[in-house]
Amino acid sequence: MALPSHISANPAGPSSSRTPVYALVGNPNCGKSTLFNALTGLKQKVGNYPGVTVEKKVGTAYSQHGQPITVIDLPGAYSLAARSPDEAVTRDVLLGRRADTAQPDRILCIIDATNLERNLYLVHQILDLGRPVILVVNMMDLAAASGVTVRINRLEQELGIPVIACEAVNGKGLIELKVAMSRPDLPLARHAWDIPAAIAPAVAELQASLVANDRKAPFIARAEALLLLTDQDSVRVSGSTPLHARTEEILRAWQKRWEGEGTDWAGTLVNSRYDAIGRIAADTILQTGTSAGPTISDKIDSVVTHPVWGWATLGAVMTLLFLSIFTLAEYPMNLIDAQMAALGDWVKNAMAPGDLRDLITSGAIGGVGGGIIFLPQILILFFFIGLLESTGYMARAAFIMDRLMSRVGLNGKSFIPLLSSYACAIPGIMATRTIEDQKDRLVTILVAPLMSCSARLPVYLLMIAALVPGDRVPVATKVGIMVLMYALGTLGAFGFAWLFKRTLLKGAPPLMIMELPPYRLPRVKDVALHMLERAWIFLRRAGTVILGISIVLWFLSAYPKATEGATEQQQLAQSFAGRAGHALEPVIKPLGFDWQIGIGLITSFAAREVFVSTMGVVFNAEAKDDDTTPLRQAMAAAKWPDGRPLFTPLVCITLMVFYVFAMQCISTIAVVKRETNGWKWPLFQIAYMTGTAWLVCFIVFQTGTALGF
Amino acid sequence: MSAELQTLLALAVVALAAVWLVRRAFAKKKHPGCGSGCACPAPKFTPPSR
Repeated sequence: MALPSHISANPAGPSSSRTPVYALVGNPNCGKSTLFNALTGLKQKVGNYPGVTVEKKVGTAYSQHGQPITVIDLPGAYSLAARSPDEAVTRDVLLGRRADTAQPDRILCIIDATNLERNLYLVHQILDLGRPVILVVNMMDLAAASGVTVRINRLEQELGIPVIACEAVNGKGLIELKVAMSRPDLPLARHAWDIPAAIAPAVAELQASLVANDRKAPFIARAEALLLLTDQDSVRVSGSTPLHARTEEILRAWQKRWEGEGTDWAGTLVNSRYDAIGRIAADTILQTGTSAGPTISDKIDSVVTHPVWGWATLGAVMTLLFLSIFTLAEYPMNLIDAQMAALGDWVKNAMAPGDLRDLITSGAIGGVGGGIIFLPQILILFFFIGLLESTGYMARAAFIMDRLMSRVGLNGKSFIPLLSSYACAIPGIMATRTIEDQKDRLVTILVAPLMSCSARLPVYLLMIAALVPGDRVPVATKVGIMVLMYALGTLGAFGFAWLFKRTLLKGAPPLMIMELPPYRLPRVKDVALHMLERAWIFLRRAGTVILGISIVLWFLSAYPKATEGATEQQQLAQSFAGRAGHALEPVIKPLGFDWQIGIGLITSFAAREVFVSTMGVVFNAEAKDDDTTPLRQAMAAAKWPDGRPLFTPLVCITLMVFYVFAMQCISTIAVVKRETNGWKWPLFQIAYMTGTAWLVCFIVFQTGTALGF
Repeated sequence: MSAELQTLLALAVVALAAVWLVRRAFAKKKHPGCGSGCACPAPKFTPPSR
């Protein structure tokens, strides 16, 4: 087939002076990010569940001759007819609709060998684009294990493009793939399928307009015309270039005409495509083995997705997680604690008394040290999350939770964003892009920060330590309190979702369609990378933002200076921070909090974990010069002016409840503002969450006090 | 180190930290609000109709 003059079969091949750009596309959870990491050496997050990648990522691979090749990892999509914002990113990049991303020269299409026929639908649409395509058939080992043989040579002959058998996880097929990517002469597909004759005039007219008015290449224009006519192309994302008015006009005219005729041309188009795919699949897939009853995955699923045993498994997994957090982390935590205390003592011995020494010991070491002591527990949390993600259990947990979530009107697809929010609300909120329905997406964004993120963990742990100090407290009690806080946040999220779905954002209960990936042995490297990445993020925050806030907070608690002879308590009380805390005290006193806790509540608006470092600064400021009392002991000794203990068990519980509900994270507010394109919803979120926090804390503290606690 | 010099140095460190925090808060980010480790142009959000 002769190509139009402006289309090259070799766009930006190695003979070209510019770096060729490959787009990496495929269905969700078929191994795109694993392949992307293997090609580029990057550490993009991977997981054994659909929807891990919701935004394009760019990396550089190298050809067999050492020439750079740009690779764009795109979110997974079942079809180019986007149904959610993440799929729309993939569609727009491939169609050249994005102003910020040049259209890729070549396409690396990855498919799952265990699900070839379903994956070929996207391949079929991509071949319409008239770009050079390399097809990577991944998970060949899993296909072989299930008795399926994919005839790679036959597939190559059918499609006329290079087809590479691959096991991305094990690095098999990568050399062949790099050789193919280095080819200067990638062929265009022998791609034939019959567009129904009755729809052909519409495709032709739209294609002509897209070429003339929207400056699209003919092949791209044809593919886009087919998408527009299937009436499933309504999801728009920012960065997309809008269609020309004339093209819109032609589209509307054809749609109106077909509506009048009552003919389902969209369905006819899809069926025609499936017929072509069916012929290819029949020719290339051989079922060499026979199914010998349920697989291991099926047997495991019969327990972990069981209506009763599934919940029991989920409960056991969560209990094991928190048990590990409390038991395994104890030794490294004590070690960090001792090192921080020793560092503080060393500085005190090495320097003469003065402001700089106080700044280093009370501000920097007290503030940052109070935070990083919780690093081992955060590492354990992310180790477990990584383990659950890579084995495929997360998708099962989503399945179990769906029944409960659908009762409160939450979309089943909300589970992954909500689950991600246990680590941090920011990726959780970004993961809502996989949700097609805008109302469901907004409800999930609104309730995601109620899930207890890892930044709350230091606050909970500090409060539990203050609440039940000493070694005589059984670990089960600490675990029980922790599970209670996580459950409270989760139930709060479900409760508010139920409320929003019945008031502000009414909508029909959504159905969940989610693929359960096969179980896989976790890859230690991926889990370790995920864990270390989170540890680095935590340490970077501790070394930058938290250190900066601790230094400023030291100043605010040390100035203005009190008169000669004033006690540390008097100094703190009349300092800038003390005055701010006192100003807040009337509002928080009904919750059992004093002005010192008030200082923590104000500063932790930047980030929840800053509360711990603030307590470090506030209570270390009270310690004597020669005493670096550990924070927990200092807090346990803190008293109201009338001599009553400040951190009673009831106050500790109330404070934890406050952090369960309050919106104390500037970064999350910024992300909500960006994802909802305005201030309306983030402001609403601050108001409803913080208002709820105050109200629930008031009820808890006042009821507890009335009951004599 | 004298107490006066310590005060001077401590205040200088505080001033630096404050300026850095303010600049960080108001700096125009390359990918605003993306948090750590992600580059993301925002999807267009159409407020749902009641």
